[in-house]
Amino acid sequence: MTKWKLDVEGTERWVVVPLRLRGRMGREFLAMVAIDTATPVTIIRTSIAQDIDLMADHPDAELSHLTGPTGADDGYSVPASLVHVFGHHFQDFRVHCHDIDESLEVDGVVGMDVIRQGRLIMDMPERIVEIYWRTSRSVA
Amino acid sequence: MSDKLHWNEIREKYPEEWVLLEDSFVEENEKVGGVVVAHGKERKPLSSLCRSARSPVALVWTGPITKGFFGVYDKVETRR
Repeated sequence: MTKWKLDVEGTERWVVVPLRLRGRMGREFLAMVAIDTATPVTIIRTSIAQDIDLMADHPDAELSHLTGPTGADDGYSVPASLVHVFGHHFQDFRVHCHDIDESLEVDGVVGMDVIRQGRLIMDMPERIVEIYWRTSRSVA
Repeated sequence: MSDKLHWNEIREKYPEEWVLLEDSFVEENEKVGGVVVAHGKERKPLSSLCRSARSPVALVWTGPITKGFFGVYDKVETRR
């Protein structure tokens, strides 16, 4: 079992982690995403996906329809050749691309599609955020 | 050629700003670093520069996160 650990202050309103996303032609973007156990999928800004050539006209793209507290939002989902988050690789991992307001300071969320594959411990008073993986590598 | 900066250096030099990084990296403490190619108070003007920056690209806010996501997303449907 491997362990990943994040340094936190313990007072954060969102726990934000870097997520490295590889698109077509090997181009990569390092996005900052919030850990979100309330969202079943991993969501990324559309503009970031487009910067690494993960476009809506990708041959494996699908429509993505998310319903949140303020209503529905349509985007698209597309497989990224590599997602690296929490110290773990996910190959050909489908990310959901949605328009995110430019005023928001995070680029999306890492959702339960990733989180459920490990054992996440969040003990904010003790300033502990850790995730344990049973294997060093995973294919989603 | 510009130097790669670590997160603490970036935050000290560009407090509460958006910073566009090329050749970005993640340190052991999960903090982001890289070569700063642009910075500013608004995200949108920098977003248009991402395409021309060297991979891996990152566009990060150096201040505290005060405007993040909220709520629950459910009923996810995917269809072609």
